[in-house]
Amino acid sequence: MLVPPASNEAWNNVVTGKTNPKLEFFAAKVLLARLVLVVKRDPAAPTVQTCAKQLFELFSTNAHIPSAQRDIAKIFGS
Amino acid sequence: MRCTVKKSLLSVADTIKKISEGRPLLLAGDEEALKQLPRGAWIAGTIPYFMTESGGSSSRDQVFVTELPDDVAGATLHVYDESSIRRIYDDMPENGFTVVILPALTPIHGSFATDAPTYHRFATRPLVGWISGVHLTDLGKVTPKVFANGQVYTDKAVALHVALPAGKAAEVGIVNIFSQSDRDTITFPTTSFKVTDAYVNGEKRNFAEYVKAKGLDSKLPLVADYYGSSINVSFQSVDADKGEVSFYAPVFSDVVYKHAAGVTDYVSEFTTNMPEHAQGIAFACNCILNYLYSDLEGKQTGGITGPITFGEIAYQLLNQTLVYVTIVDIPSAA
Repeated sequence: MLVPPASNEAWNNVVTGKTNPKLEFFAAKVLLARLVLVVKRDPAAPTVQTCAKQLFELFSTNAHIPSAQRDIAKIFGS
Repeated sequence: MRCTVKKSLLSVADTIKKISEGRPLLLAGDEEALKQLPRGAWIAGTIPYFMTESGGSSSRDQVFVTELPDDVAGATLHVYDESSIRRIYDDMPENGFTVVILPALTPIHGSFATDAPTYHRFATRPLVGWISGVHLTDLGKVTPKVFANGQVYTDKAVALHVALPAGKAAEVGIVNIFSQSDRDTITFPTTSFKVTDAYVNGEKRNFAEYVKAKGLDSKLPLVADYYGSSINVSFQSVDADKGEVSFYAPVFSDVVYKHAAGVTDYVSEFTTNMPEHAQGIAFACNCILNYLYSDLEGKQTGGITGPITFGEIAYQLLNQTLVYVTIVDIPSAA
């Protein structure tokens, strides 16, 4: 499955809480719970980008997992 | 089609036979049983409590043996100290999973519990595992231990990194019968196993006094909502005289917790929430607090078997939770 790049705004929107997709992939839930707190403590752009990249890396590493694929579709509204 | 994994409670003699076959094994048992085992491709942790096909049970002279499926692509043992455990996610196979065992009440247990979410590549690959313990009558007399290749450790973690072939993947899941109540919102100013202060609905309170004043049942955990998954932190002790509350896992600063809603029928809740296809589960473990508080001795929990532990790991340390990893078929991209 093609995963949109880390620079795609949708990753930023998830870690800043602007969008709140209902996730299925357990690893994504655990990681996102941490990333959202990191961004809440330091909402500067570099921190947001670092966290967005971590979320992207999680999904790109696990893009073969069906529940991760469904989450990617939710994050990108497809 | 799913992988079939053999899991059974065996005598020491039968476990030695399994080790001699050379297949990588995940073991759990009392220290005296594990000390009799020869070197080989196995890791283990000390614990004499198990979920078996006939229900929860305790045995000091048997070993719970989890055999990996025939079609794993490889498995390697690894021993970590408090420093090197930080790179566990980097060491994991590209496609596969890792089972890690840490001894309870040790510095490496504490640092993993607190710091795992900050590890490089945290949660990017499937990590499960458990915290080794002792028979409850040995608490304070015997130390929890872990083993790898016949060597015993009291201060290190042991891991089995399992590589899977193309077309297979591992996925981590949990069964947590607890959910947040609709009562007070609780946050903590620091990440710690032991707290004095908390913010209850935004107001600073001594947490031990709050627990006593509210009459909270300490058998029910604090529960955080991780995007729809309930993540528990279990009470260890509430000392109103010292004004301290201790937990079996750290509470994380700024994470929003609520006391768990009550559970009327523990066994029924477990059975209802068990995953389908239990035969595809490569490894599972359940919390000793569930065993004790839910009175699981002799009671089946939905066909899932494995050690009953002093803490469960699904990417990070969890409490009062059943953790499992499933090997699933992945359709080819073509």
